[in-house]
Amino acid sequence: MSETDPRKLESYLERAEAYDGGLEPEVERLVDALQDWSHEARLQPRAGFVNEVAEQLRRYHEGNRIMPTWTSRILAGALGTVALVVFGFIVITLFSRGEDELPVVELETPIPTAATATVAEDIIATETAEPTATVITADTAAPPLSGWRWYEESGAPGIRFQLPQAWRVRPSRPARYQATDTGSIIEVQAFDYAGPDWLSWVQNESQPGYSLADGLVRENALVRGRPAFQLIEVGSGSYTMELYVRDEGRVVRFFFQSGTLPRSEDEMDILATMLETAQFAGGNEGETRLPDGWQDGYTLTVYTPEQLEFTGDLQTITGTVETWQMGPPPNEATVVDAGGARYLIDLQSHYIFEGHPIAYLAGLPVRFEVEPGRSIMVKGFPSGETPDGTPRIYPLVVETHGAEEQVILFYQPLLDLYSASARALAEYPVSASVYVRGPWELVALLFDSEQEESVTDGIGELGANTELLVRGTLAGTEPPRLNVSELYYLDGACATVTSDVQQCQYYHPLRTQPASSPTGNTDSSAQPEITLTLQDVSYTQDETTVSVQIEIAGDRAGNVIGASLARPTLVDEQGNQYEWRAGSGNGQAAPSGHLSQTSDSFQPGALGAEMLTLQTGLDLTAKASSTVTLDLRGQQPGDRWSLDQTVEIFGLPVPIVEAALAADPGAPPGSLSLQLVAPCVSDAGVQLFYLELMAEGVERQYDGRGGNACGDGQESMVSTLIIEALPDGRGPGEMEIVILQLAGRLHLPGPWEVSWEVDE
Amino acid sequence: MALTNETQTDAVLIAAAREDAAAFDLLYRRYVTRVYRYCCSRTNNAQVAEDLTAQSFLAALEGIGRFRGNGSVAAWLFGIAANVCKGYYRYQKRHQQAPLETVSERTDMHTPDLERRIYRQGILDCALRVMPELSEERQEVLRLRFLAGLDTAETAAVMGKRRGAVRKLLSRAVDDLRKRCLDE
Repeated sequence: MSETDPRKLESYLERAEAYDGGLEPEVERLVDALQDWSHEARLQPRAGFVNEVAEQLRRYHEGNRIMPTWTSRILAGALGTVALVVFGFIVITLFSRGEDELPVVELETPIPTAATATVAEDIIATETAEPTATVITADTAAPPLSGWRWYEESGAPGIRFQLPQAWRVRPSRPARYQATDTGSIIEVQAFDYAGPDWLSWVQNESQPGYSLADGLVRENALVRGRPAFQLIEVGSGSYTMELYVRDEGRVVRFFFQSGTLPRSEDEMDILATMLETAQFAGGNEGETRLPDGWQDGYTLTVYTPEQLEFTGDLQTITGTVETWQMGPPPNEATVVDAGGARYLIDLQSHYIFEGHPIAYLAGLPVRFEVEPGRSIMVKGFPSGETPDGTPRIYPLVVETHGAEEQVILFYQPLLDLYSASARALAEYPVSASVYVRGPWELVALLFDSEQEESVTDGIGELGANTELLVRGTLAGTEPPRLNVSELYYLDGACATVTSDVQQCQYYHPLRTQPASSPTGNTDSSAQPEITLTLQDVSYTQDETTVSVQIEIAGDRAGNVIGASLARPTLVDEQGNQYEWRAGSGNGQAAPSGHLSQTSDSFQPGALGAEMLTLQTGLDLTAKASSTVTLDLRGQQPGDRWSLDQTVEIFGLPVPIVEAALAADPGAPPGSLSLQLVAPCVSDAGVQLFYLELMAEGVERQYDGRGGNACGDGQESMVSTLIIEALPDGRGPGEMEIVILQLAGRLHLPGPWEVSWEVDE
Repeated sequence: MALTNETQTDAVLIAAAREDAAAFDLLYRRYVTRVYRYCCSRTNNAQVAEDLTAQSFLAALEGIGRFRGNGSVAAWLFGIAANVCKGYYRYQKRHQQAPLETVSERTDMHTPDLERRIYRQGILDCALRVMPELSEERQEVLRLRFLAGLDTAETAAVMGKRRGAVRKLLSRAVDDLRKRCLDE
């Protein structure tokens, strides 16, 4: 038996035209058989599963509209972070299952709460392996605060904690205590650990939802006199919080996940009160003390080695690309110069991740594909050599020359002044946005005097060796100057998590822009439920950026997914208009309804004006759900009939105009394939992009398409629901079709208008 | 931003999915069956596979900002799923739970030709029977290629290997199965 040629096998698998039949017939047959593997019945998800999880994800998404990207990012490096976040979820759902406990999927029975118990209010009842109430009588428990209720987890016996009665208990293991208005979650778990080094256990064995260097895991809090570790300084400042408490032969984990960003101050108070009043079976004489700043810890994760070691000065290499591998590792290229010397170019980008989302896809300063043979120029530092003796280059910039212009293929987003001189900035493209890290005495040289004054005014005198991190665009090369838009200073320790990830405590953000703050009336209310607030304006030589907060209140706010400025105009007192260039934004649920933050850039020059006026409409993304009743009597596959039913999105009507019983070749025999049709653009101007259906009371149904495209030129959105079998004894007749989600975009012309004075 | 719909690429959907639940839902529906099959194959337990599939997508949703856009979404998702499954095995090992249930029901082949179907079924039966005897790496490359439907580059990204290494690993896995099932 000869060995199978790997490339021919790949070619056969991918049905490539280049496949020339070079595989042995037995191998082809085996591969063909393996292709059927995925059709095995046992590997198909059961009916309903896909929609169930979709619903869970939707709820999760709605409760956490802005993904806590920084929380995730700080956890660790690429795959490490993924694994550890996943561990966090596994801790929630798997790790807590005792061997004798029921699998999660069997925990559908609602867990009794105090509301269903028969004793008075100061009673506790929640989670047990068998869903029966655990009751603690008034004799053994202190009365709860007014409007609060005691709870005790079956998995954490002897620990009682109280929460407002408005918080619901959701059946899971451990139970989730959820604020009804914001969706925020609290969980309490206990793990058996009797050993002496409990922090090491937390770090290495408990599968926490984070990864920290050992030195950052330490006792820093007290809960009822018990030593505790509050994961707050690193990694949990704005979204989740984890607190581990040592309680005799176990470790108790208190977990909080905010349903809103920013977090609700009221919920912070609730969390603090819950911890301060928690009762432990072993006594409650000691104090509860959380570390300073636990509500607003701030951390940056620096994706760069702690020390970059260069073996020579900055050099320029001109040559042709031999290989260029980006995306899947390794991120590197090989280049051969005119003399035949080969170099390995490290294309790994180093980043700073901060406490709010950044645009990854738009901002990556790298070309993913470069064809072999292309002439390029690499400016970078030598950084050793590969095992076979090929020199390694740490590039700052890789560029080529197209027919008419210079093309940047890559630049390193982070320049570390601990390793390289600020003069290297001169190699960067003028428009590049770059981070610079280094001691204040070196970073200060990049500022003009006014900016430096602004910084020192903000934080007092900085020590020469205080570490700073700034982001800006190049403003000059002799000497190097930056237009700094972001600045952070380090007030704590950094620790290396992996070979190319550091976590640093207390990176504090400072504002160096805008040159002027918006003054005057910064609120604008064209509709009573929608308020726009001008938050920030920054002026650089490249653009003027206007940040606006959109707040939507009222009953309809809960159905808003996102909001953005629509066709905004920026005009000065002379009537000069500054052209809009780009905008971005993020939306989220908020205690008051919906909150979106937008940032829109305009052409530069506005700094010379005295007064600026922003006028804008709004684009909303919103959703709705509803029920449509279909009369299936007498209908056959292939029939279509008109409907006259309406669903409202944010108060605007969307008609459901047609239903059909389709003959779907992909549907199981005997099943019904139902379709609902709605116009892609309604008369009210709602642009649909999603329509998902479910049939009320029917067990086996599929909606694999989950909503159809409304692409260019398409007039109607068609959503299909396949019903495999109707319930016993139920024939075709009237059927309730639930529109699980109808989502669309709509335009509110407003206009909203706000003016402000431009300070010198 | 263009409207989210089924015709959008993964990259467009994932960019929109940060703030748009519908976009993530489309992405989810595009991959959920493949992720489920992968998890089911690794655990041999439908309930656990459901749990792990849900965990994988929750983790993806939570970590969506971490997707750097310099690789395929499929590779990113299966990287998460692979880690979720690894975590499950670690948990299993730690808690010494009973062996996983095994299910061998196999009924639907979607192949019209009966004779060919039976022949292929026989080969597949054998391959699946002997697969646990292969190294974990070889099992994993087979799962990622045939169940998850990943291409070489995506498989390489999930496994943290170079593409050439994945090609070799796959050919050796296929040869191993052939030796055990067709050269007997």
